[in-house]
Amino acid sequence: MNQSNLYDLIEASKRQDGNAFRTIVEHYQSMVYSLAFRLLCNEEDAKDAVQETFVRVWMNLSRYDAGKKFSTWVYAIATHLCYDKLKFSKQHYGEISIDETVKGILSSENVEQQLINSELISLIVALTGTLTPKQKIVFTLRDLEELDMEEVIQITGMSAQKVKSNLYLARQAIRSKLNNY
Amino acid sequence: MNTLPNTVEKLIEKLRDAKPVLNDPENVTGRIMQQIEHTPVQLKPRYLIWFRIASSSAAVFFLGLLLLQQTTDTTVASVPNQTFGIERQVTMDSISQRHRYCESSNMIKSYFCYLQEHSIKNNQLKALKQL
Repeated sequence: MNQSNLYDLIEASKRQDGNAFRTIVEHYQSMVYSLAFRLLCNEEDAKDAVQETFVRVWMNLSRYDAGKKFSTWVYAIATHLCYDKLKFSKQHYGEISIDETVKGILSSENVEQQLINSELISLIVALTGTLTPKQKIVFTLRDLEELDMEEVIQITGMSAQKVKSNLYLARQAIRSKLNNY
Repeated sequence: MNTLPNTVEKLIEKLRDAKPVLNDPENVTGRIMQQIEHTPVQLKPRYLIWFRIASSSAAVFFLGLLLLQQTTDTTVASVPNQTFGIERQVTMDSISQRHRYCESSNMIKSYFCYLQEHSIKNNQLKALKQL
């Protein structure tokens, strides 16, 4: 989808065009799902987050600044939503050790191997279960979603210094976790 | 990333490559579309924009008026001959003239008092001298 197409779809959606918005949803929902899944480590929660994100996108379309990347704006909405969920979540993973599944994943030479969602959850939880919500968000956006620093700053609303320090702490925590491996 | 050990790099790479798969995208899309069906797009509160424009214009107008008034008042005060024509200027001028009249009449009154006082004193002096 090129920029002019996207712009047309956004403009049509602002005029309550459901079909135009459906195209936007179909194009961006896997991106939002990937982020929500990696942050929330739960398929159902991630689906709910996707739904809620796009409802917010729909409601706030008039506030979208066309000068900025649409994906960054959608990412920002999804991130803030997941941050709230992580902050108020009663789910505590505690110290989960890297189990046999994760060891198996690591020992595999095939990088392209498709992990099933449950394996992915155990891997993410094992690595990021003890991180704070902010560290987890910064780590996910920067290292897993591979967004550039400027985009991470825009999405999180944190200063560059804070993003860097959270990323450093997250990487340190993951490294110390893998020390015994 | 370079400072991380190889194991961590490898693990992160695996995580990065293993994208979570949304099993039933049509279902999620359908749920979203169903929910937004009854939710209107929030329009920008235009009345707020108009209120902002109107209030700032009014503020600028009143500020300008105040400045104009200030400068015009100075002119009226400094050049009394220019106080004809415009009603406000006439009013200002008449006020100042009235003030001036009052001032001069007061002066005359006080002078009369002074004279009167002195005439009484003179009369008293004359009376004393006659004694």
